[in-house]
Formats: sequence, structure tokens, C-alpha cells
Amino acid sequence: MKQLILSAIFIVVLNAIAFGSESEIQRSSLYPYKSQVIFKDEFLSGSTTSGAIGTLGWGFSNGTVSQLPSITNRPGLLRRDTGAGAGTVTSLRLNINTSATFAADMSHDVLWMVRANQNDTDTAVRVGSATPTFTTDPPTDGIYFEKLYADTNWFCITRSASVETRTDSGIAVSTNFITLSYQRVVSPTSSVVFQINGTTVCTHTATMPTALVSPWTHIVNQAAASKTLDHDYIQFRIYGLTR
Amino acid sequence: MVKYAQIVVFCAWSMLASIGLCSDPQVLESPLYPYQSSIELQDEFTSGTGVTGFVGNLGWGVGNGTTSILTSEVNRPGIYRRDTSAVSGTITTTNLYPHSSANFAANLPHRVVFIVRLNNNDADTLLRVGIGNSTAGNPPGTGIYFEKANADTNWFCVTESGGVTRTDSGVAVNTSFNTFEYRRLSASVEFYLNGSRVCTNTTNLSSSLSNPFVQIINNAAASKTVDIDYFQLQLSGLTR
Repeated sequence: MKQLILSAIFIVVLNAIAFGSESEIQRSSLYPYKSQVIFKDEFLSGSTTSGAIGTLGWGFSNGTVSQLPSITNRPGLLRRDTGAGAGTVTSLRLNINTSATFAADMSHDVLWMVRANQNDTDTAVRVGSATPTFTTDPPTDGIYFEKLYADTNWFCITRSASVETRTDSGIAVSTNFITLSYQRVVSPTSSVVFQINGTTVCTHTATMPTALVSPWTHIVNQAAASKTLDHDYIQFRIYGLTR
Repeated sequence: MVKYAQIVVFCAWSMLASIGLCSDPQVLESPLYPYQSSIELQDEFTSGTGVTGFVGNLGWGVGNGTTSILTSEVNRPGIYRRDTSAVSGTITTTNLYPHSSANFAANLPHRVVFIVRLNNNDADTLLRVGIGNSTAGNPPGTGIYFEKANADTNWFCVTESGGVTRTDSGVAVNTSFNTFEYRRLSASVEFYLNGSRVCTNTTNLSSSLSNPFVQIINNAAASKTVDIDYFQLQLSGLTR
């Protein structure tokens, strides 16, 4: 037995030296396609045309789109701007079609890095995933963070068929970049865990949407003034596909 | 006997696993990198169009000249061609971030790989491959890149930040595909051509925001072209 263990250790070390020195030949960047989808976008390429935004080719509704000068530690920035017309529901979403991309009741997680540039009573922001009627305010189904006009904190939302659970995260809205993420877990308990900058701020178990949704953001201006939302990064993972 | 048979079986399994033959590499790890500190990008140039913002899988920007998608070659799936056209002095660029700004600080630890083919090895063709703070500048104000200036017959390794450090790689320019790679370390840049280290520059190391780019310029009224097969960026040291 001792010989076996020593031999095994020797071989593992030998293999690590022989084959592990060039990590590129071992690693796969592919996800298990039969059961998962994994995407990310740094927004450091692409155009400002709907369907060609970022690396993934995002679509948008209303307002304007622009690429910003990068800043240190934030390579690639995409701005959505409501324009000065009051009540402009300005969205960014993954799927340019009116359809959405995945069922909200599958296990998945979504992480956005965004910056709301106006923290005032005329600006509403939503960041997460929602149903394909991207200009519906609010969406009929979705899982997202929300700042409504009067809010000074971020709120956690799970919304199904226009009925929602809304919880104060306790985290104040600011005009800095913020990491907003949630994890939808199907079992053993159906829930959504919301995190802000890596810290859990809410856990929901009610009004869980089942509709098809897409990663998405909203910014809406209540007054006739431009309001903007900057996007630095997104990643999302969907589990449990059978195909 | 059984003991040695077990050892042999284990050794065989272990070696096969190491080279990925007895396991499904797709389930080994996530394709996501640690987003808070790093960025990893690849482009095979197997999709997209020739319009700026749509080039390649990532959506590169292009400036001046013309862009076309070539017929793929065996072992080179996806090739984009950038052509200066016949107008002399055309600064023809391909850059990752279509915005006029660049996208990452050049002093962060990073590694850039381009596989490109210069189709004209003559005294009227200039080529740069790497990163620069300005894709329209000739040369860019700051950057890290391989360069063949008009009169060069070898590839040169360039670090540019105010001044310029320009080192002869000793490798002759050719019209074959070549793998251009550099590694930005804390106090130096190592340049590799086709996997062999050819230069190490330690001066004029830029910290400016920079953009991966390929730049070809014609010095005469004749078309000069460069073909791009592959790109890779690995960047670390972000704090976000």
C-alpha cells in the first residue's frame, strides 16, 4: 500500500512537471454545453448599433448608446443615456429579439458592474434580468436590483406576473461603480440571493418568476433631463439545461 | 502482482488525464476568469463583418484602408485582411476598442499574442503589432509592439513612453504567419517571436491606457496588406 501511494505521488508530480508546465494545453474555456450557458462581456469592443453592442452583441431600446473612454481598472465602458425627453424607458438587453433567452426558474446567476451617474429623485434604475417587453416599466417578470425615483437605497426585486417582493438592501445608492449580483437557486429551496459588492443583502423565496427573461438594465428619467447608466462588466451562468 | 498492476493502471490513468484524453475537459473548469482582477480575451476572427465594431468575434474597430474576410486555410480558421489601398501613407489600423480612447493601463501585468502575416516585405511597408495609446498616431505616443519600419529587414521590439527603446530581434521579416507575443512584467517587457524570446526591454515602459492594435502603413502608392489570424489578451492586476 505504501509503495502504491508513493508511486502515485511520484507520478502525479511527474505529470505536473511534464504536462502542467504549459497550462494552455490543459485548460478548456468551453462550458458543458448540454447543461449550461456561461457568458461574460467587458464591453471593450463592438459598436453602438443595436445587436452589435459589446462583445456579445447586445440590443437596446430608446435613448442613446456610447462607448466611453476607459479608466484605469475599468477597460471598456458602455453608456446608456435616456436623452432629455422625460419618461424615456431606456433599456439594454442581451437578446435583440422581442423574445428572452432563458427561463427564470432555472438555476442561474447574474453579475453586473454598473454606475448610475445620477442619484436623484428623477432617476429610476433596474439591473438584473427581465421579460422581453424591455420598455415596460416595470417589467412583468424579473429578478433585479431597483432604485425608484424616491429611493435612496438599492432594493431587491423578484417579480412574477406583475406581483413582486421588494426588499430594502440597506445599501445606499451612489454614483460609484457597484457590483450587483444575484443567484437564483432552484433546490433544495427555491430562492434568490442578492449581493452587492459581494455581500449578501437580501434573500427572497416569494414571487419567483418562471417566464423567459434576459440579462437587462433599465434607466428611466422622470424629468426632461438626461440620465445615464454606465456598464463595465457582466457575467451570467445558467445551469440545468437539458438539450 | 496485483499491487504493481494497480500502479500501472494508476500511472496510465494519471498520464492520460494530464493530457486530457481520459476526461472531459469541458467540465474541468469555468470559462469565466476572476473578473475583479483580470481579463482574458481571444479572437479567432471566424465571424463578424468588415465594418468597424463588427470585425472578428470580439467586434474590433478599423480605421482607414479596407477590410476583407479571407478564405480560411487549413490550420488557420478565420482570417481578416487589412489593406492600405493604393493611397500612399494610409495609416491602416485594427484596434480592439472602437472608441477613440484606449482601454487598459499598459503597466498592468499582461500578455498579448497576435498571429499575423505581413504580405509585403519591402521598403515601402511599415507594420506594428501590439498595443498603443493611439491607433492613428504614427508612431503612437506610447506603446509596446513589434515593428517593421520601412527600411527594416528584421523585426524590432519597441517600448515607447516619451522616448523609444527599439531592439533588434535578430529575426528576419518574412511573409509567413508569425506569432508575436509580449509579456509585460513589473519592470520589463519580454518579446517572443514564434515562441522564442527575442528581446527584453526595460526602459520606456508605458503606463498609459492602451489598445491592442495592428497597424500597417504604405510608403508608396501601392496596396500593402496584413492578415490577422488570432489574438489573445491576458490581463491581471485590476482592482474593481
